[in-house]
Amino acid sequence: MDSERTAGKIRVALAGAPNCGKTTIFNSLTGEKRAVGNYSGVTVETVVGTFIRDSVGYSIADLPGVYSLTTFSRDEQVARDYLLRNEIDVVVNVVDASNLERNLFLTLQWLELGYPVVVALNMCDLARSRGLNYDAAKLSDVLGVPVVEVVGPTEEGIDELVATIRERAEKGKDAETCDASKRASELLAFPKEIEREIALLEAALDTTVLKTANSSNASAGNLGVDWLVFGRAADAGNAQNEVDDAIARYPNLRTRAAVRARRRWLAIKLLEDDADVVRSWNYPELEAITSSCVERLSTDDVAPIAAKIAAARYANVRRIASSVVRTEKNKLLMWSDKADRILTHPFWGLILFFLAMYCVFWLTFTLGNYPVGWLEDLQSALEGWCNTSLWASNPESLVRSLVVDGIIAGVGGVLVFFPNIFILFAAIAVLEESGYMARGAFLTDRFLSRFGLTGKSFIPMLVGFGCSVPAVMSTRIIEDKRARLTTIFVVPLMSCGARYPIYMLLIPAFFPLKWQAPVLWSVYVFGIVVAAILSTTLTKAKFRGETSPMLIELPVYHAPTFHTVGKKALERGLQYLTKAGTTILGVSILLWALSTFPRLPAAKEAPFAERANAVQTEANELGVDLAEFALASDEESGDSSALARLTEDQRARAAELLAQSEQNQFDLEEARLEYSVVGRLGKAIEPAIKLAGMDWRIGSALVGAFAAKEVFVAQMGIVFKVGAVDETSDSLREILHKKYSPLVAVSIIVFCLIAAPCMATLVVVAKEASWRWAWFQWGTLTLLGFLVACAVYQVGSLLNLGV
Amino acid sequence: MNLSTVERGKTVTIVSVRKVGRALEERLAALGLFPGAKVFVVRASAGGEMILGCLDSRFALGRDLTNAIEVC
Repeated sequence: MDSERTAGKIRVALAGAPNCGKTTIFNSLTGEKRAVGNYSGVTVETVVGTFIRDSVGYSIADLPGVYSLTTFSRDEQVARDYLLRNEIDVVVNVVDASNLERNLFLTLQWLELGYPVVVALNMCDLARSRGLNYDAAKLSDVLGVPVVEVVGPTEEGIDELVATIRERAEKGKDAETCDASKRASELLAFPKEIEREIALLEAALDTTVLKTANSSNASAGNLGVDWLVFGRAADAGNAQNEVDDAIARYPNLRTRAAVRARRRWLAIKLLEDDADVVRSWNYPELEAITSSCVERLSTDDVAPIAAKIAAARYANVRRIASSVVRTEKNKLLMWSDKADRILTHPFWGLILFFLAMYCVFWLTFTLGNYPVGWLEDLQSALEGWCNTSLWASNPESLVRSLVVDGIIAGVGGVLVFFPNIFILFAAIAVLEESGYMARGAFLTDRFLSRFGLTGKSFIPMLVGFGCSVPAVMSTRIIEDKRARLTTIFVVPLMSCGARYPIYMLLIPAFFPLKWQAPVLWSVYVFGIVVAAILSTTLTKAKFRGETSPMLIELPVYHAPTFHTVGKKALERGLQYLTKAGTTILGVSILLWALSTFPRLPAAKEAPFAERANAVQTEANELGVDLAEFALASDEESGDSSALARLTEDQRARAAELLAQSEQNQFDLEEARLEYSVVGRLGKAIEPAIKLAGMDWRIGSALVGAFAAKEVFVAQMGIVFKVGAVDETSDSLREILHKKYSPLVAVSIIVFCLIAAPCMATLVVVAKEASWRWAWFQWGTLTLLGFLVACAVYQVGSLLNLGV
Repeated sequence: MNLSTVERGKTVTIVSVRKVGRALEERLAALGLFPGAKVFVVRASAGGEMILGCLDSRFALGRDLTNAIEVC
């Protein structure tokens, strides 16, 4: 941790099980200062926030929610490493009062580590309404640590919690850091046979490890050894500088009690054969002692030692819980189970789940497209303002082109996704917070696990039909890393909204009306089939068939708070803007440069200028301002005064001139494109894409489509000299129909479906997984798309289909 | 008997957990699913997937896991 940032502050670690309401308490404590969200998967971050109360500074680390301190998941490793490697004054253990036993299981482990603990008993209101009557004072007495009742959402008890943290931290500066350990010795006691082995191992740690600790065998950064070195130093009253040195490195072990607790903890970890603790050690003697201890304990062989230790801990927990809680019927759980009769029903549950998913999709894209439309309007207004006001006198300015076609288009390309991403993440937050997400994962897991995916892959895949960018981001809900990477890999195969214009341009151009809908439908289904094949292959080949079986906690249903949902959505949205946005902007400027440079030499530009001048001169003779004329004739209801003073002949001539002027402009743009890097790339790949029936025009449009898939249509408009077009352009369709066969159209569609995810997707995958994964995905999909397009074209040609 | 064959609404005691990989076994134990623990079957689906009640929590288990757990 950044020590300057935390100097002079009380350092708090906020720890607890998943679904215990930890984040709500973190938010109440820190206000709005939380910087980034933590999510499981590829990146797990520990978020550190700061706050000041009564002129005392606090820094507080929000550890990932964990079930235990083993190393089953990355979350657990991160939480444990943070606790072991950083200076911490107080561990605030958030305990879900409505699920006391499971949460106390973790509390005992914090105590075992020897930290000063403050228990924040959360969801007290919920627990009471569940019919749980508990005695917080008694709990504090039994555990030997302060217990504060809090209600996360209403911030009840937060002030008292802060006061207790401060009190505890100040007390901790005295000699006795670990007052809990005395009382805790009985709380943390294991059955006799286990205790015997622990004692043996503690002794072994002292003799074997410490004997060699000062030699080169003590590796720096080792999870255990260095602390013991300090422990010995403190015990033996060694030279002051040695102790100081150890305190500087391991300030959590200020007292002998803490060192003893840590030694016991290491002994337990040895018994559990904890990979992280044991792996980096090299003490043959210790290993021999450990394995003989383990052997003695593994007599009945029904469970690993770790399970035995867990069972012993649970037995202790039950003792504590039964002394402080009087349980009536758990009403909330009964209510939740009743809801689950329908919501997790194999048939009705699925129907409701699909309905819920449809709502998410609808909200994200139908509702989200209103603000997206406003942003697009704003963008085109800005472009228009730049074109007509800023650079009106100099439309050929390179700076104008950079600002309008590079920067505004690039920033716009990033910003337009923001409403979709915000709404999507708000919807996901509602699903997560309410507890429904886990049910959805349960319902779809069986089907999706056949393809190496998990139940939670469903949402990203669905969102992928709208846009791959938020879809890739939503894979964060998948804990299993392999499943997450596989899901990311196949998300672009869901035909996104930007590919729809391509389909809608090509399909009506080549297929009769009655075939159009089935063809479009087949394209979507084909994408899903390819995704299923790819994810299965990927799981088998790359991850060697390892899929982790489903094991998900289904939290009790509860209503999500507006604050939490809004905050989660905003956080993730802003992360998108800062993380992905900056890179996307860079790439769009690069693509702009590639399609602009090298510029057409002046000698080649001259004929176009001459032609433009000729048209302009004639228009002047006619007394018509072509721009005005275009505007007047474009909008039928528009200002017709410019037309009124013209005769019929003049009008016809003016229309002709306008057409010539536009044609000249398209010719110029095509010449420029052909001369640019993008055009040259299109020509360069022509020999290859010829195999798939495509020529350089389509090639350069495909290169442009990397910026954004819908650019394909606009690019085709330029190369076929029909000017600004959209997917409804009949003139472009006619040209395409004359120039290409339906088979080529299918080949293009297949290529656009599979190959080359757009640049925004590439960048987001790189940010969510890694650049390696992003390029691996991009390369694989592009190659596959190319091969399938070739196969379609070659086989089709052989069979004389649609040529 | 095997956990996957238990009907909905029954409460059973875990006898053993077959080898499903150490990490998973440890996770199960941490969740309270260790030999000797009582579990309540909230939902049992035809494929073997289950929702189990253990302490005050509910867990969804895939059939790989329910097949690996022996109960009585």
